[in-house]
Amino acid sequence: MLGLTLRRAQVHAGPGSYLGACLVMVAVTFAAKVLETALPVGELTLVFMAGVVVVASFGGPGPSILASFAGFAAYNYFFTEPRFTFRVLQEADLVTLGLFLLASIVTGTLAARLRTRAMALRGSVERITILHEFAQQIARAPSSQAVARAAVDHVTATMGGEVALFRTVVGSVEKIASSSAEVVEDGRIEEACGRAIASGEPFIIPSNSAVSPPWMILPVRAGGKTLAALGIRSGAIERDDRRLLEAFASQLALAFERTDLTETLEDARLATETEKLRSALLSSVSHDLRTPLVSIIGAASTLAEGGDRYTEPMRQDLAETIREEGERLDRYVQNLLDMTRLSHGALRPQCVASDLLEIIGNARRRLRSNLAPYKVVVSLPDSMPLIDVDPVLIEQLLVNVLDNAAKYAPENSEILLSGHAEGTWLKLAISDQGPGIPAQARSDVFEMFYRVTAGDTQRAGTGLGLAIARGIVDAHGGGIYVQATNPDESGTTIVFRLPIACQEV
Amino acid sequence: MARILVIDDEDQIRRFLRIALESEGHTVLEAATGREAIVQAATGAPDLLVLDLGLPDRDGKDVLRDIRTWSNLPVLVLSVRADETEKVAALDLGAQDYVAKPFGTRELLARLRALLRDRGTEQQDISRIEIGGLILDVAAHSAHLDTQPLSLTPKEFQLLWLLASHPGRLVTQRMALEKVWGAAHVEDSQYLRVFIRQLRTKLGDDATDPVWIFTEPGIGYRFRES
Repeated sequence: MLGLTLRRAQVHAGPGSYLGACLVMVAVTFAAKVLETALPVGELTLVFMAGVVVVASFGGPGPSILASFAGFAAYNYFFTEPRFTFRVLQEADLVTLGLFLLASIVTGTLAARLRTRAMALRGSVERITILHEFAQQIARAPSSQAVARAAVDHVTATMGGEVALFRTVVGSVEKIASSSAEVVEDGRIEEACGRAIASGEPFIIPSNSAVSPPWMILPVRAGGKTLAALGIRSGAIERDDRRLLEAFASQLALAFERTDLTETLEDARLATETEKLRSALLSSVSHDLRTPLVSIIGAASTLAEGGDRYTEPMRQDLAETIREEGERLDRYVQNLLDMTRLSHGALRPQCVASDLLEIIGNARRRLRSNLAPYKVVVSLPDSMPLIDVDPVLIEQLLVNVLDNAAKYAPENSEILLSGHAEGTWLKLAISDQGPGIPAQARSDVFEMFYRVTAGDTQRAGTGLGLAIARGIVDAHGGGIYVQATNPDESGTTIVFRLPIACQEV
Repeated sequence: MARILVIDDEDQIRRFLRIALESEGHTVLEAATGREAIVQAATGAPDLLVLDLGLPDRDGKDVLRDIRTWSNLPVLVLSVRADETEKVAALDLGAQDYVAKPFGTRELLARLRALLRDRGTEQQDISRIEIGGLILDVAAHSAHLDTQPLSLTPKEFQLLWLLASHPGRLVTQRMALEKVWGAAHVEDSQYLRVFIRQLRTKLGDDATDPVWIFTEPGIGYRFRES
């Protein structure tokens, strides 16, 4: 919390100050009694004057006047002839007494005014510090919600009492932050805030009971627009406090203007992103879902209608086409499903101690026909540790990466799987001899529906495989990146590392 | 040849299964709902059930639970690939094996063959297994691969015997742990992984391109059929 609270200047003296004034004057009288032997009686008024100045500078004008009269009375009673009476015989003494009273009232009042000035100055320095602190805090807040939270905390800490901040959210006035949860159950405050936002005018709501102070509602305005309303109920809000609150409100308005702007920009960016994604998904679905269907329907109708016109090997070939394209379609649907689960955060790895070699074996089995034209080389140490992963997801990851390699690499080329344990991590690289991915596109390949245009001449990819691969690696708390296989920048190598011990993320 | 009850609500799937199964010489019974399935299973005297888990009227698992109260008929479950938990639940309820949709007929027929073979062999005690050059003799506790003797520890032999006596059939982790290590160790799947690794080494099986032992991730293992 903030250590800063507003110390109020004691402008009005309490009964304590008057009592203090009396005590000071009693002490001064004793002092004068002691000094009487050393000083002429006339000079003793100076001692009383000193007392009055002391009282004035600590107690303010009221006590200083009291002290002046007390000094006047004491001097008269104890030190002028005849002593111990309030009568004055000598004219000189009368003059001294008169001058003393005049001088002490004037000095006392001056000293008291000086003190009030000093206190006011200290008060305004404090307010400026508080305002500065406030401005800094809300400037740091990244979102409107955080701005609201910081503002309420700050105002509560400096002013005390209860604070609530209201804004218009989707057409209705809502409390977005308040000093404590149960604060502002009163519907009147919400209503008044609504009116303050609509009109840009401040409101005062009288309190229900005599003991609690009224609510003050201040509009938060910037550029002729009311962005929010700040409600506060605090013990004693004075004129200066109110000015401070108004300063808070204008700082707050600027902060809201800033965060609103960034949030609007962010929303716009998200909307474009979503739009881009939607059109990418549509084109992907219409293209990638249909391509295999074209082959399947074509081959199946040829088979169904061809009768004996086709030789057995031809029919076998057509049937194979149907199967292969069906499997491709299945992989695509699987990818779409995985992507949906990933984007809903529903992809939670169910980790069990698994043998990576077995997972590789299964992935290869699933891609049997795709990998058949390639020379798949597995180069892993025999002592590979068991790894705590979700075997089904890691198999999918390998299927996607291997499928990608098989899509772009030339036939009869080598696809190399290599890896080793590195401390608590396991690193696996899958390298192909395809055209490779240009350096500047390497981080984009893990984006949904991204395809490297130059490398995409051979077969249509779904643009999902590597995005899912990254999703799976992320879900395991690992990392994935792409690099060139060969020094001449050709070939694609996908490297990923997974923690050997499962990390639920 | 066997009488096979196919329980699936999709006409297309029942149609191609009928063609595939009848071409293998089996007799095919069909049921499109859970209710029909129970009736057919009770009155049609099938030797084996092919059960789709997604039925319109009731959960396929319920049907399985029902049937298991009065019959030990072998059940092959058809499940969607992503649904691991469904698969495991069905196996726990007493299904013998599963095929993930979409599947090829070759895969399905191999599974059925393995299950039907089991039906024949479970009654009679076998003491010798011969698969693809591997010869196991339970009496002599000996194993030979391409006439070369394999030196196996007793546990390794037990595990290999268990797998090889169910060629092509799913052996769940639980089943293997219970049969080889005892009921107290059904959760200790690490044992199994270590021993499978050792068996692979001794059989010269490359886990990344296996020919002897196939892994069903998170579920169990399957030994080569021939």
